[in-house]
Amino acid sequence: MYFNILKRDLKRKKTMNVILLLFMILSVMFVSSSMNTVISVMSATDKYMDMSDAHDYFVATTGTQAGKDVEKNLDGSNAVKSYKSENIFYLSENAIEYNGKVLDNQATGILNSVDDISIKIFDENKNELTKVKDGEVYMKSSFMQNNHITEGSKIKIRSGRYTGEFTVKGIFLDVLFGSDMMGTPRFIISRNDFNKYVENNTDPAYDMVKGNILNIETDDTAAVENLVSDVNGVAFTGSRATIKLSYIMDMVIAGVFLVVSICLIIIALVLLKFTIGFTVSEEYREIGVMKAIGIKNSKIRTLYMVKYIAMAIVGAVIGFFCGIPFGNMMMAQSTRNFITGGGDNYLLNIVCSAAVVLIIAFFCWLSTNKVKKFTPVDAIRNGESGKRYKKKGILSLSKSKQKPIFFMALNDILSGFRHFAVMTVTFIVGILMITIILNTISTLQSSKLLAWFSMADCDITLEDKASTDKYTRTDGQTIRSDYLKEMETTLKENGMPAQCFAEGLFKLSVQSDSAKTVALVFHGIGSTADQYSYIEGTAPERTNEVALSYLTAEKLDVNIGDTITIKTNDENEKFIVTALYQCMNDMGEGARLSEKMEMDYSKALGYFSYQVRFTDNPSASEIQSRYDKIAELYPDYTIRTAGEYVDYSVGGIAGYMGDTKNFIIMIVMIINILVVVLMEKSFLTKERSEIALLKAIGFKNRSIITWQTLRIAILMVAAVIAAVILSEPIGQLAVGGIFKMMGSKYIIFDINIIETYIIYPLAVFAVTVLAALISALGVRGVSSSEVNNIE
Amino acid sequence: MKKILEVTDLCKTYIINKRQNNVLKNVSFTVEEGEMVAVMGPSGSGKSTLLYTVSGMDSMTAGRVEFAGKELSKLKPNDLAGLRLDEMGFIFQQMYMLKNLTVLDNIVLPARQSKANPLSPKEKTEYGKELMRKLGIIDIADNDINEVSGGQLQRACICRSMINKPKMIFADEPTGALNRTSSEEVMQELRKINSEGTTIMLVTHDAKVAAKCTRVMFIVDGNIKGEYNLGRYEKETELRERERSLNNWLLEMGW
Repeated sequence: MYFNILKRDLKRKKTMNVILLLFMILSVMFVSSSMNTVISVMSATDKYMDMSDAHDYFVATTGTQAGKDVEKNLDGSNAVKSYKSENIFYLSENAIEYNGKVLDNQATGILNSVDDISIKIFDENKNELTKVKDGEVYMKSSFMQNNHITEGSKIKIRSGRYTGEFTVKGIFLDVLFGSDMMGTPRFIISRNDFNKYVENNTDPAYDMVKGNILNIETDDTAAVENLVSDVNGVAFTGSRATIKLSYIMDMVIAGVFLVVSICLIIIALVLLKFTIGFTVSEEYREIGVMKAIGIKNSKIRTLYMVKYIAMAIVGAVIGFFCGIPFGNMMMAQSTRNFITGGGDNYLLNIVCSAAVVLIIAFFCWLSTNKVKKFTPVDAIRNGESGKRYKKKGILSLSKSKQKPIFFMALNDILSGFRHFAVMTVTFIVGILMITIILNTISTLQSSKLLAWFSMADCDITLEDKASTDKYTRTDGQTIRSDYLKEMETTLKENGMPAQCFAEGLFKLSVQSDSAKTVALVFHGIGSTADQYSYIEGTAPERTNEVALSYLTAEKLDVNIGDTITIKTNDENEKFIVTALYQCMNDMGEGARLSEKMEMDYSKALGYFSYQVRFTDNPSASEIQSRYDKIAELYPDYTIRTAGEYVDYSVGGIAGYMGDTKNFIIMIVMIINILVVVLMEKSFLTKERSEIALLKAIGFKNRSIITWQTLRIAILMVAAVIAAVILSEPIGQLAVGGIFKMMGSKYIIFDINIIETYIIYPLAVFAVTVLAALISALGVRGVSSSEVNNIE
Repeated sequence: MKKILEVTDLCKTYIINKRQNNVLKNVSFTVEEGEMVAVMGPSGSGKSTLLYTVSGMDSMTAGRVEFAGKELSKLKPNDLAGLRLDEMGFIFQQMYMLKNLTVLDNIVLPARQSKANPLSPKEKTEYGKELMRKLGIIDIADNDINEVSGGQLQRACICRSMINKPKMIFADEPTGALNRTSSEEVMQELRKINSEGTTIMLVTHDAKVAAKCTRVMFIVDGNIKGEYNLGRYEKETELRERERSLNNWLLEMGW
């Protein structure tokens, strides 16, 4: 008999059952695919490093001696379990020629033999790359994309005295230099081709183009850091954590997807709780009748439990299969530069699907608890026991001047917000996702981010590709300072009064009483120390003062007022820490010396671009016209606005984020449409009698459709307002957390108000309300004569 | 007397599971202004269908219905809705009201929606209260609809049906869900409204209710089998006699 009741129930309440099943499918789909993304993303870099056999500490040296010195120190230490060393050639910034042109936008590159590389690398299909044919070269994907290099084309690579010509075979995935933040492009060739560089660069004059990368296994990175800090010729050191941090921008994207995934899971669970509660409360008549004829509570409850669990199992199976392509799509978007190995984790999908069935069973158990409350009277009184004395309506039409349709819409929401909570949560979460990503993108493209790169604010940057070679000499500071003054004069003569300055970079040994590290040290030429941003303290204005990044200060266990030692110009000098700042250079580690300090630039690691700050406060359009003028005055330089420079510095991440943004907007819109269509359908079922009544007393279809649609529109407006208020704190929590890993204390979002708070919310609003309007057209199917036929 | 409703050869057919069900078969009758007409008949005879079809709530299959000089079949759905809003009033067996509105708001709602009603929102509210006062339910104006009794709610439905001063009220078993006392009260109010000039057509199973009307139509299998003119009455003492004679007639009709 119970089976018959169940069968008839499924048939008779087809609409609500179909809606519930669809929500179950959506929930399983979101939970299984999102959980997969969450787990894969959270462990992505660790997993990638393990798969690549990347150990705990990495050292890059220049010159053949430095590598030997480091190896000697490592060999004599108990802290080192094992290490691998690979030979490399450094490629200067103008070493790559493609289609007869020296390529733009390059940092110093690295050339490796595939047989000598100390880590595992992978091809584009994520298979280990173990062989490269003679005459072929692999490179990182961003280098190929940025320079529009196509597979199969020819490329010339020069290092020292030798230039080799290669056919571009494709991209490879490299955990050490593969991130967008790691500007160094690495090229992989065959051993035979590599040997040609070795054979042609035996002259000691070219010793500096050679080097080593050491991949060290240790449990004590601090000890290893001490072992290498005194070796001359160490170009780069970094722990596993440092390499992980180089994926910060990928993690920003992955983090955004993490937020999206968590949001989807929340939406799914809220949807389920609501729909199950809603459908059970609609069963009052059947439950009342069953009670009236003497069926026990437990039997009735079992009946509904069986129904919902059966539906949940069907929903889980369908949702599981739908979740696979959806999850893969999310994974592909969130982890471009990783090998996660988690995207096809079907076991996890199955576990998640089963978990959703259990959650559904739990929600059913909670919701069917109401069975005890229903009485036979409910069957007679259509669910209204008459014992409820709590006021339902909040507003009063009689006291209001609003149009009745608007009044009814608003009053419905305020009187029974519980019924609209799912949609409100969904809308808020959706708009939040969009605002967070838009704020992140505009922040990443903002000139304000210059401060994060230890640079002073400016309007224009000029990159001189040959500058490193030209000024890396003992008197480089004077020559460069003179050149900057000359540039100021030229610009002034052309009606552009400006301050011109540049950053010199050094990799120096920095130590306190308790710790030691190798830090990237900045030295401004043409600028003053007070032009830079500090979070605490005052600018290092004297020659014995220094500002430290938070990470470096933490590593050295020092604070403002403490004294540290820096090995400048081959001599240990004492400096007082006067300020702390946050930066993204060298993964958050750095120090700034006073511009009054005289430095030996033959020891410099390099320079940042020339920076131009106009002193007459020109408008944005004037800056743009000056940009063109400067490009004419300095045709050999790459000219960028401050915003373009930031975007370039973060590896063009904003462009990738743009794709992510589009993907998320698409997801938000699809979810809003699905939720609105399904909720509206359930409202039409639940409110059929009210719609029929309104029609019977003379309301036109248009008015009733407007009433139904207005409710969604009001909710959407409320959701936009709530999301705008919440976007700052939630954004700090979601994306700010990732930036904080860089050593930054906090992130100030650069918000494009029109785009973030008006254009995109309006677009989502329009799509959502349109979906509501189309769904509400179902009102036309309700006849006024149904007023007496409805239960 | 002027005709307010003229029904000619009205047919209504439902197709259920490919089977044709002729609910109304060439029904013809007229209702004059100021009449209070009861429609009686056994279950499934087509009483409610007749009421909904002649009031424009349901479509007709064939025939002609003219309400206040307007032929319903020629009106578009929006015009029909307008007609129901401004010129007709409805009372149902179940006291349907919008759950999220107070009793007074439910009554005032059609007036606020009507563009033909010339009163200001405040005057509409005042008129709603006046109707409630007349029907003795002013005390429940601000109550939630779940806080009042069935009799009070049905009287509120009568107020709602009156709010736009309709030409005619259609009532489908207005006392069907009420106890005897409430039923008496509701019929008293309907009589009062009718005596003030509003035409009423109601469907009922109850001879006591029908005895208070001026005319009774008896419908069987979609056809009007007969009509019984009761006329108006002045004193309550006449009711017993009217009821007795109506019952005799109904017996003749095969009730």
